[in-house]
Amino acid sequence: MDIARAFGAALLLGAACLGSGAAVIALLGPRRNLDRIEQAVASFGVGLGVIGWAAFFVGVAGGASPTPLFVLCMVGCGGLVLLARPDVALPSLSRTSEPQRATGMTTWLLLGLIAVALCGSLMVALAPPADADSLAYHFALPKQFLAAGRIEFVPRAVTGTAPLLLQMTYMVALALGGETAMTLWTMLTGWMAGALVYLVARRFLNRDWSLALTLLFLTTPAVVYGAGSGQVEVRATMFAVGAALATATALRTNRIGYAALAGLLAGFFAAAKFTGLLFAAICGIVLLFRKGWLGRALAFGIALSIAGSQWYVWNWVHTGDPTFPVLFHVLGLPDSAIWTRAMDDRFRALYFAAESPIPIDLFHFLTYPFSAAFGEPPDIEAGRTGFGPFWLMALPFAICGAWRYRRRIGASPLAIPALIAFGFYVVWFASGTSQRIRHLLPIYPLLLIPLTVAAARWCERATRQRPLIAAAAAAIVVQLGGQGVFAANYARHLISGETREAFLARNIGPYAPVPWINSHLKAHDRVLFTNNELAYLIDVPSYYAHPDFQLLVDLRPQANDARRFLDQLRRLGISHILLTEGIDSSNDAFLQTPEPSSLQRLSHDLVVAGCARIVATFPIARIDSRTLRNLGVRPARFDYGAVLALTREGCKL
Amino acid sequence: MTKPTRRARATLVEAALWLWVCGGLAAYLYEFRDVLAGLATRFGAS
Repeated sequence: MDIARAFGAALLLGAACLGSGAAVIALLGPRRNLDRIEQAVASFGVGLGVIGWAAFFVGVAGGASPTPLFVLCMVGCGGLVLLARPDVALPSLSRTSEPQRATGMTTWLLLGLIAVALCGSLMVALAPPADADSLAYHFALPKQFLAAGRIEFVPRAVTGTAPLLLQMTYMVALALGGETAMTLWTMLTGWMAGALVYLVARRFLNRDWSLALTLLFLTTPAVVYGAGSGQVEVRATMFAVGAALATATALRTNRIGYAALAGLLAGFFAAAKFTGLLFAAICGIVLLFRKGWLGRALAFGIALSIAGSQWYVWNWVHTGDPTFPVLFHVLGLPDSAIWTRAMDDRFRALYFAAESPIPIDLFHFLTYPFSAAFGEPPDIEAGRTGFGPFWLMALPFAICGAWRYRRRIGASPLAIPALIAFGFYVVWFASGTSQRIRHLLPIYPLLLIPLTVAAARWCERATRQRPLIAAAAAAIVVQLGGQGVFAANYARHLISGETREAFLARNIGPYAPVPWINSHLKAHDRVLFTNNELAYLIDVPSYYAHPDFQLLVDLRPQANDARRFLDQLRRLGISHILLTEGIDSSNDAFLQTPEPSSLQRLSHDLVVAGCARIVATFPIARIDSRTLRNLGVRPARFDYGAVLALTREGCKL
Repeated sequence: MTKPTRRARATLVEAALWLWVCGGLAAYLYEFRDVLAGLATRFGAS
């Protein structure tokens, strides 16, 4: 019954996206240039943004609960009538002149492999969420908002004040169908990104190459990792690709509707990720070229402001910084209870140093894609969650194709989208923001499709085609193998019939205390924790005290005043502390570790002063890789943690 | 350009492309050598 409800909720939300997107597309005009399937996929992409955008206002108004969100979906479904009878197709983009061919062996093979890849992601979707970032905020914040009945400001940098447009759609799915609906929804949106890649590729490539490209995209390690979790990059692909294509069409046709659509989609991208702001700026600049720029720029700017500003205004209202805390020092904001200049200095020194390990210069700008292809440096997470080997293997083919057809490149409908993607890469790299490769995933299809088109065009001669086909086939085999290794953990869960709790215990290192916390603490308690992945899993009131992202509980290394620590805990109504390290399991006491964390030190001081006591201890696993651990390749190490209860009786502070 | 020269050039180009594809794939897989070795040990042993 639960699973039926989950599927029903995900499908209802999908229908709401289709309907609301179809209404917007009909309003802005591009509908006439799309055939039936293209119209459906484009509607879904636009509608994904519309529903996420509208859910914000419903949530802020106190409607973060099933009934208002169900009504929102039903309103969105109203637009489905517009999909029933599409207009006559008037393709604005070039279309392959390939004659209709019977479906051959290769086509069936590719379709079968795509089905295998989709089954892999279905298995991931049917298991409980296990990705750390998803548990920390992508899924945790929607759950928190639903528990509160409204969207509330979270005074925490990075994971509290990020733009949350896509997480709003997770909130709708969670409200209507529970956890499985939410994970099924992430699966469905990942599939739709794949469908968009196919449809765009199909305008330039034959059916088999388009299917192969779709398969390569769906099995790209970054997609496998991100599509089954709450990570937003895969879904933001729809916004980036749509905005770039609409920008190109607006420039070519000078039609205001396309400029507005580009603004809308770029706005949704900005409302889903900070880096979407960079992308929107590039699209806006491109629209300024050629005659008629003023009208296009106005339409783009208005749509962008409407679609993309909500989370920036939200942050500005609560902190004075629309991109909190990125502009804190630039705006010269005064110290407050949630952020100070000292905190900001430390944050910028630590966070950006960790997130941007590659020097920003021309040499590294040029070599970044190649070093990333080989997983270097590890901090950018380009190895197991990178872009796979195909683009690298196909690169010389594409370069030769680009050179051969250099006089036609400028007229290609893919030229401007590819230019926008390249411009985004330039600005992104130069901006000094996080250099993790998955931040480039939204623009990846805008580079992968032109690259494959150029390569395939050059390889129309049989002798050149063989190595290119071999490259695609090898990449598919390697990537499908990678997806198989990734999905094995989830398949094991489904086949063995293990409980949700057993799955989480296997996959989440510090999960052991969670069942105890959920069963022993009550609604009037509040537990403080520092492991981000527990945010979603703890059902009782809690507070996530990151040492560098928040200040309400000061856990910076220099914090050593137990009295102040206790005051901060009492102000937040904290009744318990979860420690996930530094406990001696033999006598339930603190270990003498050489470099204890500030939470360890301060908790120890509270115990010594009689203000807290250990009430339970737990083994805590340290897991480097869930996938490899469950295959027995990289076993976990164990530590011991404890739950401490604060007490007033006998407290000497 | 004579026909044999064209053929020789095409063969050379194709050989270079094969070399790039195979080399690229090998270099990519080398990055996962620890995982592949672990999997081989894991499944080879059982």
